[in-house]
Amino acid sequence: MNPNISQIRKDFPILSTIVNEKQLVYLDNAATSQKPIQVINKLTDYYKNTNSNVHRGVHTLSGKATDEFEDVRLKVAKFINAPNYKQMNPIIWTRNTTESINIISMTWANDNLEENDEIVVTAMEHHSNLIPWQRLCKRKKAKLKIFPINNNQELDLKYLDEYINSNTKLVSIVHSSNSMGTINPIKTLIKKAKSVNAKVLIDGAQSVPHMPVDVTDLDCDFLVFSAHKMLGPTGLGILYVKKDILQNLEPHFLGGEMVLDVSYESATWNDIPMKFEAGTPNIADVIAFGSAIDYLNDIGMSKIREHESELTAFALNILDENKYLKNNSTLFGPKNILNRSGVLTFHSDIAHPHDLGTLLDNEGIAVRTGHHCTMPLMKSLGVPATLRASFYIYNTEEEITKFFECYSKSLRFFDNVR
Amino acid sequence: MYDEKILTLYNSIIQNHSRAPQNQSPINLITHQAIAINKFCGDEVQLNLKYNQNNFNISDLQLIAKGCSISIASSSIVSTLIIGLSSEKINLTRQIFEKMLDNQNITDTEIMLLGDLIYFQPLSQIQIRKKCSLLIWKSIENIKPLNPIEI
Ligand SMILES: Cc1ncc(COP(=O)(O)O)c(C=O)c1O
Repeated sequence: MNPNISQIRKDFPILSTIVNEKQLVYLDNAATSQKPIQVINKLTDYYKNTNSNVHRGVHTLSGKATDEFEDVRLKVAKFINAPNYKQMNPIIWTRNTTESINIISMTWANDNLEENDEIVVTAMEHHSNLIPWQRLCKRKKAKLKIFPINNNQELDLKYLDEYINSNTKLVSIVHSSNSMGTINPIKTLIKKAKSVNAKVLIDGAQSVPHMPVDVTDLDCDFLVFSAHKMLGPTGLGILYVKKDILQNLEPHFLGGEMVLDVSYESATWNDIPMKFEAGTPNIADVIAFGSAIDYLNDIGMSKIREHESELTAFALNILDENKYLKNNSTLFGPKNILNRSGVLTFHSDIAHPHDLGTLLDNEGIAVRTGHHCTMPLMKSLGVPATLRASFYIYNTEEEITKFFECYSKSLRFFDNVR
Repeated sequence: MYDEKILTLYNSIIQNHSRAPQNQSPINLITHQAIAINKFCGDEVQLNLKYNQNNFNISDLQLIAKGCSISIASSSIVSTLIIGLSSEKINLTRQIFEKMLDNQNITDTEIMLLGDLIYFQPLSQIQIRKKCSLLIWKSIENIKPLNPIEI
């Protein structure tokens, strides 16, 4: 049974917003998702009724806040099927995906990378999974290798043995590309990495919100993602670290909360995972994020993936039948629906994406235009920027039809004055 | 159809400037140069300039612009306006332009100075695209003398 989209839409107050006198069509979900009323209510409810610092009081509210806060950690561990999470919870709260990656680059990777070691990323990484490794490799005199992609912006697996070899220390790859919609065969890459004893970091910023992701099944060493892209609040990121690494991982920030015993000369660390969370954490957003996880679980991640695949198939079909669009605009990314997410990225020679985006905005349609924080990829494709429509659980076929109508109209508008 | 503001902004004069910007040909002597990049979107404007002997005003220029139609068209129009103007006049033009974008009243004489830049008036209602039209002015802020390059 398909999720009831019209029912779901009613949970998202912002979807009834009027923009430029038109009904909003929100297709910028890869940048950030909208929030259901359940999450918004949880956030205000926390501030109205529970607000208190965690882990440090004996009073009732502090106990309640701590319980709710830690419950969400359990929920998230279960959501990604972390092994044995009840014994040792491997979920560390950060500010966002970017911070999660930076932390690993400054701790585990900094401690383990040696001269001439290699880190492998792909040609389609978000800047946040590229720049931290650039700096680390420079400092350590290590090599950063960029796994090549083919003409459909998919990883070119014929390079697997060449790029992932006995020098490889870390493979840090995006699961689902925010700018091309490519879903990478991470299981194949993880298996290869394991065979050469390399560790694997998965950038799940665009996959965890949209499909089932199971770290036990994947056997990755790190998984990072952001709450704000999966119906949750901004300002909250997740860092999952596999147990064997977690046990020896050095804390990156030091201070209150993360210590057990402190003298003027020295300190000992608190238990995992609290030793990685110095200072007052983002309590309110964690607790509200719990409601986002509940919301996603209620629908089911497989159903969400199914819905987005159907929308994508619907979109590809429209494109296929529209001669004008086919001739005047290029869609990047895999042609096979199994390897692609609900992210559609276009380029047209007729007009710059920012100008097209302004016309779409005039009709209430929110799309992303620009380089999508993947500048090297844009340069390699020879385009300055692209126009991206990205779907989520609340989007409908009517909205996609509207998008294509307005996209064609904007192209024709600029085409006519040529 | 689109709003009035969109139709004004993307009228054929602006479109022509963006498709075929003025002052693209190389000049024979470059005495000054200016570059501005909009880090947010990657748009880029470069001005190669020839100042007259007393370094007082621009006698010739070449514009190299990459980006959206608003940044290219505004650069092209500005490039036609600034030749021969003193830097005070150039600054004044910019001030009037910014006044227009901020929805402040401008006088008829001020409008005369703006020339075709008047078509960017709708940007006062499309905040997010204002910076596209300001890139050329950013570059003008950064004009630097060069050891003259003869071409
Ligand atoms: C694939 C990918 N990685 C990393 C990020 C960075 O996420 P955040 O900005 O939440 O740190 C994003 C977000 O745009 C993304 O799409």
